[in-house]
Amino acid sequence: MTSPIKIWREQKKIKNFLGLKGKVVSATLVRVPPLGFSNQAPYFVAIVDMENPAKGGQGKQRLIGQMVDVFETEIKTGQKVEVVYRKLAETDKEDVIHYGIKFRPTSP
Amino acid sequence: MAITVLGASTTNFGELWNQSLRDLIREASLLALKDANLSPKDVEAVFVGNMLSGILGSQEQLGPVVTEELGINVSATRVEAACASGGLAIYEAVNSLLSQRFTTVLVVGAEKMTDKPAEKITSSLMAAGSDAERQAGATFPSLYALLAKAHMEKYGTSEEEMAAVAVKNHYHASLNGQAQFRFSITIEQVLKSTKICDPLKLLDCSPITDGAAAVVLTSENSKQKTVNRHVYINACETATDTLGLAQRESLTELKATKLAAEKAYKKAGVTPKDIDVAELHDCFTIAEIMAVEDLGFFKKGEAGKKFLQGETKLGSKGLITNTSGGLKACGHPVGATGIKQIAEITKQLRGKAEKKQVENAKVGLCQNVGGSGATAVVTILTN
Repeated sequence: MTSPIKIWREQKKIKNFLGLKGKVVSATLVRVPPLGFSNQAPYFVAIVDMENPAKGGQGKQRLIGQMVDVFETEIKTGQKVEVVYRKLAETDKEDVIHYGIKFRPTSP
Repeated sequence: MAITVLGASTTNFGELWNQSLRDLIREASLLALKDANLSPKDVEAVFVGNMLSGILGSQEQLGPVVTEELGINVSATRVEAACASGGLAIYEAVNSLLSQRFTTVLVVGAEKMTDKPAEKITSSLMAAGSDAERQAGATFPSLYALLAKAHMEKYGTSEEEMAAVAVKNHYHASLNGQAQFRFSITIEQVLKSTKICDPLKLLDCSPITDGAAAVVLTSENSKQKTVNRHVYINACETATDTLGLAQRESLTELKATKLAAEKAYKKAGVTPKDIDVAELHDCFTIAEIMAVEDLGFFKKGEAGKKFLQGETKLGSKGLITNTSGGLKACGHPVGATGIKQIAEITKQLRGKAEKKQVENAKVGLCQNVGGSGATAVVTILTN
């Protein structure tokens, strides 16, 4: 279980990333997931070059994240994406639901 | 100061259901001491490499586990750097000898991984990654798949070329009576194996393994009453990089390997051309392709073709890599791997590697990597 305090600390930073745009540098389709992700598999994980750094950040920024709303069987390098707010891994019934950032493809 | 590998040992690698972590540590340690012709009371300090004993077995404080098994009460330090825990334990042991605090030390690495289901192991290994990687649902196969994809796009490296690495290492493991997978495979089998994280397939990946390895190192000439040919550690260097893959400057090389190798070559006074035999960190086939490039054996982007042409395989001319079978086929008990590499090169440089002996091997190299490249240890040995 992820500690509620850790989630609270993260949430304060996440808003700086929401809506940011970028391009995929490398992507893979994860077919064998870690604990908590089996109901989402298979899913893409991508490394993304961000157009602009997050608020408070500087210079070129790269992020790693899960892709959502993908209907293709492949993510091509250069695919444009934007940062969205989504539920992360499955948690136990009484745990705090863990939200974070993921990427969604935008029109090419 | 000359540092000698007096004794070296490896337990069998595999699914060892009747042996605990403690059993493996005891077996490897006693075998290494026997090989060195020393007794436990000759050991002045112990270094133990391990990553997962806490997460998987609730056992931390591994130092005293080793000394208790040996019936001694000396200093014992546990070293953790994910899959480079073994290599970094060697590094700390070498430093302790160079500082002249000790003259004879035991280094043991061990991991007990098959007691838990694969999904638990996959998640536990992610302790070596970053918060962002864990939240992305990334796994180690997926991180190396991202590196593979980048390498394929930049240099045209193919899935066949990656498969050739697994085929070579399985062939070597077929000659190693202690390896987890003692059989050969074909390129077609690799390409048709279950997809794990595109483009990596099951047979591109190292397995989940139980096992231990140990070496006895000394800086004292009088201790050398062994009948074995002497093998020396000429350099043992390490470097680090960002924990997360996304923060790296390049996705087609491991900077930590390059930096550690640069320092090690300089200290040992050798060049990549001088290396006869190497144990490389092939946790995934793409990792050995990047390793031979980052270590300067082949030009960047050309290694894949060389593997497909059969280079680095026993019987071919020039450098031979992963005679043990590598992580891919000998197995990858993560904390033991870096020490097994030293034990394998020691056998090669003694001329005692039997069916997998590289003729006239004089200079050997070990490259051990932690995480997706956040830690790298490069060690150069000679006879």
